[in-house]
Amino acid sequence: MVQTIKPIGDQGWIIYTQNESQIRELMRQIEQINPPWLIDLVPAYLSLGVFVQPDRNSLETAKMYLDSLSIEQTVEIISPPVISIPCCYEFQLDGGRICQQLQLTFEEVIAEHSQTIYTVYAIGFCPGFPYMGYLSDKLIGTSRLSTPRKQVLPGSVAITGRQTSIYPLPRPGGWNLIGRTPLILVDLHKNYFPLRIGDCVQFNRIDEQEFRNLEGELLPDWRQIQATKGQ
Amino acid sequence: MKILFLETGPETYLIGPAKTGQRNLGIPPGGAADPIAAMIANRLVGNSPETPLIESALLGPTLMTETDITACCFGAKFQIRCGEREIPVAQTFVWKSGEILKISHCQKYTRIYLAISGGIWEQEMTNVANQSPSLSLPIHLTPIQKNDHFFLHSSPVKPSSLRSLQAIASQELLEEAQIESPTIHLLPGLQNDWFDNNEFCQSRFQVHSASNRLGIRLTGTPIARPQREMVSEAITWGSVQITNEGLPIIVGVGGNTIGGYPKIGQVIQKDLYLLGQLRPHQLVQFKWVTIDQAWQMLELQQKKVKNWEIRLIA
Repeated sequence: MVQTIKPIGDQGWIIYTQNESQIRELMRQIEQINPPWLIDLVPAYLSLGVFVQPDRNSLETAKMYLDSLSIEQTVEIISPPVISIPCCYEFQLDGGRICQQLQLTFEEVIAEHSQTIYTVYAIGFCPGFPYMGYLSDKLIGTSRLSTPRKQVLPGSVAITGRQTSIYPLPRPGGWNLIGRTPLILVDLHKNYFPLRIGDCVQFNRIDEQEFRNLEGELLPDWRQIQATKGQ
Repeated sequence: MKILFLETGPETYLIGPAKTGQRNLGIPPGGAADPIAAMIANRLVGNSPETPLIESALLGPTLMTETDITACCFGAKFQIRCGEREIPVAQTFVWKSGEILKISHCQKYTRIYLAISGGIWEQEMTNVANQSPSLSLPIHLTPIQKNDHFFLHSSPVKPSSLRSLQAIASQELLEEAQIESPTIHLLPGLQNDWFDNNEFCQSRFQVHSASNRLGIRLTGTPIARPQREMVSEAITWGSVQITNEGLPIIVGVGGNTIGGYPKIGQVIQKDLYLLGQLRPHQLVQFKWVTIDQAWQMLELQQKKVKNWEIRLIA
């Protein structure tokens, strides 16, 4: 038995579990079967949205199938490699706010932010925007800006609450900007999305000179690299 | 062979079929905000129902064609001029090379579809039969800009007055969106128990002008919501979220895939097209239905639409 299943109106179901790894396990099981009624899976932290073909039969069949899933029969998930993402913290815009709210110096904020390995728990808000967690205890608790910025530069690294993220595309945004990566995280023209749910990420501090050297390079896709090596 | 956008409103898109399977990357399936009107527009020029076409809200574009083509507009009631001629909605017409087509002054509803026989394509091609109607992501996600151009694969069909008559009959669904205060049917949302559901359905809300393909904002008397936060989770077209101020935002056809506002309700699939035709300042109200009622209403609508479609193909 999985934890709780509730309907998303007449479009699908949402499954809630007690920890994030159970969500990935359920996803793995569903993707392996790839049932014909399935149109989309949307994992986000402790929930998994399961969208189905728009008819009564699909919705009912899906419910029976999801009821039969078990989070107990976990196979061991091989941890993905840690993806290192360069970040120039000199490009912060909200350092003052962050330090005031957390009662830390910005050097302490950088040390805390760059030593943690984060997991991508959800992708949304805009294409390829990774919701990553969780911040170390000392960094938890910054609030969103009361008025979001009209435009945040792509590559901006941000924190709020228990989460950190990177804006892959220029968008309005209300998270606290802590630095910027020179790498491109999303290429819509090539359908290139190197960060996926379950990936592990660590930020690597760089200076402005290194930022300029790396500016405009694509974040490598470790799946593609592994696939090439395997051939 | 191209069409060129000389002017365009803020909400004009090239629309292909909804594309699922990418919501886990933050990409909504998209597709037409009023899929029924889009299907009828395509059928009126002899296209298959999901051929790429232009969708425009409230402020239409001005375009020019490089070749003679058969075109038709269907959906909201706009003023349409092709060269010197006034063109009624739902009438197929020949749009001659060099003529300016101006779609302006939306008088009723919100969204109109411009279909061209043979389709409107991102790239030039020789064999349209082999072409996937799916759009590239940048086109799928961004509005058309002034001076953009798209390609045609002209296969002119004769304008058909019979088809136009059939299409006018099918405007019946649009009338539902036009009554002073249309009723939108809801199933319970995932945080339904946070709210007073009776209070919600007794209220009437007004459509805010800052509504678009991403979402429909409503204004009115705020409803009480507990001061609780929730973890972000999957949302979808028609999810009725309640903001911290107690006002609803309905997720649009091109809206976000996850969200952190509690959801009081979920618009039933039968009423999703209606969201695409709501006008700023129009009043709306909500009504709860059961899942059985939701399916019955959808099946009835599908039957009706299928009937129109058959008559339009004939």
